[in-house]
Amino acid sequence: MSLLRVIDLAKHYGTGGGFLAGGREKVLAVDGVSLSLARGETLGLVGESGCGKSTLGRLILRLEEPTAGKIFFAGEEITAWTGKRLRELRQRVQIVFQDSYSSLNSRQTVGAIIEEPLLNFGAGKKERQKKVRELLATVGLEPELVSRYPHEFSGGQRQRINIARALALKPEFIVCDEPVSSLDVSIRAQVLNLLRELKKEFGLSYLFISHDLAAVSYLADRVAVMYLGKIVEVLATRRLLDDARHPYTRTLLAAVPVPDPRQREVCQEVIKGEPPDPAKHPKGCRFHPRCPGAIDVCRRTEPVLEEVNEGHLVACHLD
Amino acid sequence: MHINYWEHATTSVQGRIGGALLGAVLVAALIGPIVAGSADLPSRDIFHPPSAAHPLGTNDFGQDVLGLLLAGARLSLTVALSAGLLTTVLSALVGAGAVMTGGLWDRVLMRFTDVMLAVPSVVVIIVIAAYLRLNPVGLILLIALFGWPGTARVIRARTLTLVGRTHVLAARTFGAAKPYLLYRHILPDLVPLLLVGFLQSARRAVFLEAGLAFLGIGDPTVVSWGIMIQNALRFYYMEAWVWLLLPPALAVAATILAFNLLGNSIEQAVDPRLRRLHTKGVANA
Repeated sequence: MSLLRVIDLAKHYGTGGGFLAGGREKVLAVDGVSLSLARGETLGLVGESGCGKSTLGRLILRLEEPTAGKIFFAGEEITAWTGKRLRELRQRVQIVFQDSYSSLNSRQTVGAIIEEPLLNFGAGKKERQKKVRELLATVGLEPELVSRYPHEFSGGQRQRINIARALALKPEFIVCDEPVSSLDVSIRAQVLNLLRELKKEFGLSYLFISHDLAAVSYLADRVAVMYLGKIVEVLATRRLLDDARHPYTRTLLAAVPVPDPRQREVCQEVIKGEPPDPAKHPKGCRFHPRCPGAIDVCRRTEPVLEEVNEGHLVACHLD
Repeated sequence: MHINYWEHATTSVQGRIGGALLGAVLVAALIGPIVAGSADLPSRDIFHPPSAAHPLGTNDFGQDVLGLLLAGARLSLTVALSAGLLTTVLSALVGAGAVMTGGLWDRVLMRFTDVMLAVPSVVVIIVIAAYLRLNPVGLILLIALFGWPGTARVIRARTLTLVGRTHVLAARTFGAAKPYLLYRHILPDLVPLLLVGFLQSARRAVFLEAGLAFLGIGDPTVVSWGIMIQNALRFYYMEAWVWLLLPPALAVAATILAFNLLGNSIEQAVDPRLRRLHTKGVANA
């Protein structure tokens, strides 16, 4: 059974304007996304900046209200949960944000930051202090650091603090919203390894959002590729290099730096054009203005996400 | 790292002068009645020029001007601080409350704020105060009632940017309730803004209290700088105007200046643009 299931989820901005806003353009940040995630699985979500990855993550966390669609978590529909039930859900679903500094309150000590989720759910003082030290040790930080402030740490350490805080409530599922994008390359691997170990240790499931295919393929079991608010391809990570079919996925793959210079001529398919404006959707397939192999039908009708192989979904007319 | 507002206020020239002035008025208000005794007792010794017994002379009723001045400081500061505090609390409740409740409430509260902002408050305060013959407590309430909208708007704008911050989002994901969110993660970042709002409303209250008393609308049984100024003007053809008019006029000016300077120094700490101008000015001087 899937832990998380999202059906036709959509988030449109700019629709609720006043009567003077009249014909304002809608930004279709997320536009009819369906995906599912099994317990213990890591699903990578890849796409350019502004394609709606983070919005999707926030919708799943119920930080924003979806315009349409349904979200199921552990078999229950959580789309409209409020109040007490939403608070209960908060214990099971957590998030790690991209910006490790701004996601910590710079006026609080590390101890107070990690303690806060526990405080919200009424843990006693002794218990909280013990737990905070445990959590710091879990993410590889000295428990003696509890009284320090966020600005005293490096980016990697701060991200560890964020992870510790996310773990405080023993969640089942964590949305990792570009957790390593703002980190130094040398620190990235450490944090990715930490996430991988924690997953094993606590039996976590991740939705790993990133624009970095390399990071995603290191951690994820399956990869979903997003373009302009839509999922264009879903497939297993180990088949990514060989079986990826969607032209967008292929260009993303081509953009991953290859360490060996002798193999570099392989990446011929470099993407054309600018990332599109999410408010101005091209007619037909959303990718067609930048697609190297666009044909007539791509300009007219939008392709549907279809299963081409077992567990491999693609939305492209060229198949 | 966050700016240390207190440090900035105490090290800037404006902050120091403002603090010293306000401190002086505060001390005067606190110890004045003890030093000067009951000043408003009339005596036969009228229009006495400054002397050892009466350092600032006496007025047409034979009352000691220094004693009146100190008693006036008490009223002025009481009105300033209470009206300032009440105004700030009201504006914070409306401004931050509008954001936290959101949606319809936000719109209703902010449109009400717009309406209140459109009201010419000084004129309305004069009319209401004259009609109701308010005592100082009533005056404080009245000033607060018409003082909050400007600050409320600023606070709403700031709160809007604060609730979008990642650490506030993060706090929401681990189940923080709205009041907790407001108190723990938003209010601390509003403090400098609230402080500036407080000082501005306090300054306004000093002006309004003295102004209303000057117009003869205040409570005539309470000693006020405004009444002293009005009284002094009746004797401008006599030599006595010097010691009757100057002390209360300078006291009002000094108190307003003190609130202004303190407010400026904190505003500079809050607004980096102003701060740069400030430090440049210091460097050039």
